[in-house]
Amino acid sequence: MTLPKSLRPRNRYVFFEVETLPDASFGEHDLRRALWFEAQNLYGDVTSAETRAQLIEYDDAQGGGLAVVRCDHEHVDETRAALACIDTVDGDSVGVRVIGVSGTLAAGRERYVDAVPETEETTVDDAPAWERDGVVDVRVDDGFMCGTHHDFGKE
Amino acid sequence: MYEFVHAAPETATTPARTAHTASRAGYEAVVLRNHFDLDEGADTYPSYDVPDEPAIPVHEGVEVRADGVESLHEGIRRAEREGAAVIAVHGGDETVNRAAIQADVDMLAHPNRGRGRSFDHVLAREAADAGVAVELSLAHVLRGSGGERVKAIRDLQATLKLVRKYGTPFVVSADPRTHLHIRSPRELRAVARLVGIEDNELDRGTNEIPADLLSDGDEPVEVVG
Repeated sequence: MTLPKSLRPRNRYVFFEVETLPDASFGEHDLRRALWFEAQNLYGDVTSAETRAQLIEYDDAQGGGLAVVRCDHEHVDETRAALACIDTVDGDSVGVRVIGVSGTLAAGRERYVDAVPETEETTVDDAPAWERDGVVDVRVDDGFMCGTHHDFGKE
Repeated sequence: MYEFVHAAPETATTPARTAHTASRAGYEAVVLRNHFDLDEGADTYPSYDVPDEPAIPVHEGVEVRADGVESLHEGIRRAEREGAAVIAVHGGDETVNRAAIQADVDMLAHPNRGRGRSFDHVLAREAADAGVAVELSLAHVLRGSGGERVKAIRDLQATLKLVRKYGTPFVVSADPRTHLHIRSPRELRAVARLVGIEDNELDRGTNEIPADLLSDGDEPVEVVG
């Protein structure tokens, strides 16, 4: 059964960047679960049902990637709040930043395809490092030191 | 919009990286506020490695953390000598909160931690009279869960009620410790709405009041007692 066009639910597609440390290992499934649980915890079943936020795609790459959430067109704000509250996914710290909101998936893909810079492996003083768009994460004894070219003497 | 952040050497994210990420997220400036722990010795005064041309302006402030009134005063004097752009005090204890307000510092960070009784109507009024901004920290709303988050939201709403009644200046911050903790202004607004901070209040708490704090940074801080 297909509803008439005027009665179909209207969607918005929220495109966002997920930034991680280079050793993060979660995938699309884990991010979907994280969003789901965050919405549940933050505002519960009723608002979650109205919001209909669901991760539909996560382009998993080292150091992060581009992800898309589909939600109801009147509840983009609630979706933003739930995304903002995602702090860790499967034990890995994540930084979440919304890049833009689009009415159709195709338009958003076209507009935000290059929004997330690619990561390249390199070394800083013989320590493994990951670089993108002027920022550098360097492996140190107990994790990563996160800086820019200013901090690691590349200027 | 301004954001008040902790950075290296206290955390694993450098000031340059913080500025870079905050700039990409849509902020106009960041204020560094690393802890200065008086009780761990005077040599812990934060020194920052700030590039000559950061992505957005980086202001070098400090958050004095002390157990007692005397060490707090010592820390405030030191911060003043060092020329901190913003002198904040690590709040949460009633005695420290009161001493910070009476010393007329710029900002009292997260005053209402613990059981929600460390910041009351008397302190709210004194802070309003002295022009000390209190912080509404979204840290535990964004990064906590379960009971911890419930408590944080309750504390936040208790503080909000007081600052509304007495007209106490306040700043709103996500209190990021690393670049991954930085959330963009619109996401912050969405979360702030959920916990009851209105849009105009968020604007004041992230724009006007932080700008005020930075512009009167030259005035000497008067240490009473």
